[in-house]
Amino acid sequence: MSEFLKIANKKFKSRLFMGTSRYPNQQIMLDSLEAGKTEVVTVAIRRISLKKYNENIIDILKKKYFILPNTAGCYTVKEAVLTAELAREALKTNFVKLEVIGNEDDLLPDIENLLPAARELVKKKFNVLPYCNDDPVVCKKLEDIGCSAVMPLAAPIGSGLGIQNKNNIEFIVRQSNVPVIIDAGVGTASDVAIAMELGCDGVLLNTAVAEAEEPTLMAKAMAEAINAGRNAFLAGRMPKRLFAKRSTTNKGRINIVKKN
Amino acid sequence: MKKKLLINGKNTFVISETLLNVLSEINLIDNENMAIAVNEQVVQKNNWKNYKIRSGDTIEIVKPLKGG
Repeated sequence: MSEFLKIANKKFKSRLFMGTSRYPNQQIMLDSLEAGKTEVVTVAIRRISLKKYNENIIDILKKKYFILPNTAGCYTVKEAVLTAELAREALKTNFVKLEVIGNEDDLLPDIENLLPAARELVKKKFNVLPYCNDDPVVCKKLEDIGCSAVMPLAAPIGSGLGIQNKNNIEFIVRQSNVPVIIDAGVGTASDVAIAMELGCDGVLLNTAVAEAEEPTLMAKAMAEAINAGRNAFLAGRMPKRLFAKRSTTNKGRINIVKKN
Repeated sequence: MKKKLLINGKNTFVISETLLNVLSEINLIDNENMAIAVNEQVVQKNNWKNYKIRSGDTIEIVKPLKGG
């Protein structure tokens, strides 16, 4: 495919965004990112340990990938904004995947806090990619605020349940003037293909690859699903019908006439 | 006199006057991708050298780690 995904001022060939967490080890993570042919990888911003060695994954990742910091684990506007500002200072990027969650059990977005956090970060010249509910109203509000993309969930983070509300996702795609990236909840390649067939511009995933029995192979499957789904969307699917419609003509078929 | 700081959620006592000196006093090796906030305000790296620390300051020292 020669078309690009454009978010703010950045163009990407790959429509698969991958997280860097929960892999069995670092080599499998790197192999999986490679197999997924991703260009954008997400990282979290966390306190440095004052006692032990702090791993440095950025040196390894930055050579090959566009690094998208997230505000994972933030519950309040204040926490999310400060985390984003620290991310900008640490990584010299204006891009941020904005997460403001409501509680630890379902990790669902807290819209009451997400909207003002997005507003403040846009005002501070961030390119905000908000993780949000599969809710067209919320997505429209985020777009109106000035977010660079919207990232509705397929299902709760790490659940692997796949897209739970296809109608809403399709509705979000139709109304949006910014890229729609499915974020969280995909479990396997068909979930990714469905997201792309619905017209989403990309998919961000982590656990579906990291917790697969063979992460590298699953990453390859995800990359193929992205392309298959995207091509199917661009091709324009046939209409759905309630009844059969023969594909082979009846003309010239043999016809055995019953003898009496 | 020692200053009492809250660094990454832990009470820490230091004699240093500046943020950069605090880092060496607590044996934190400077890292290219480290970022610091004092009292919820980011302090840019080029200001660490001159940033004066006061007793009671809350300091967050972070870096990017694996995440989804």
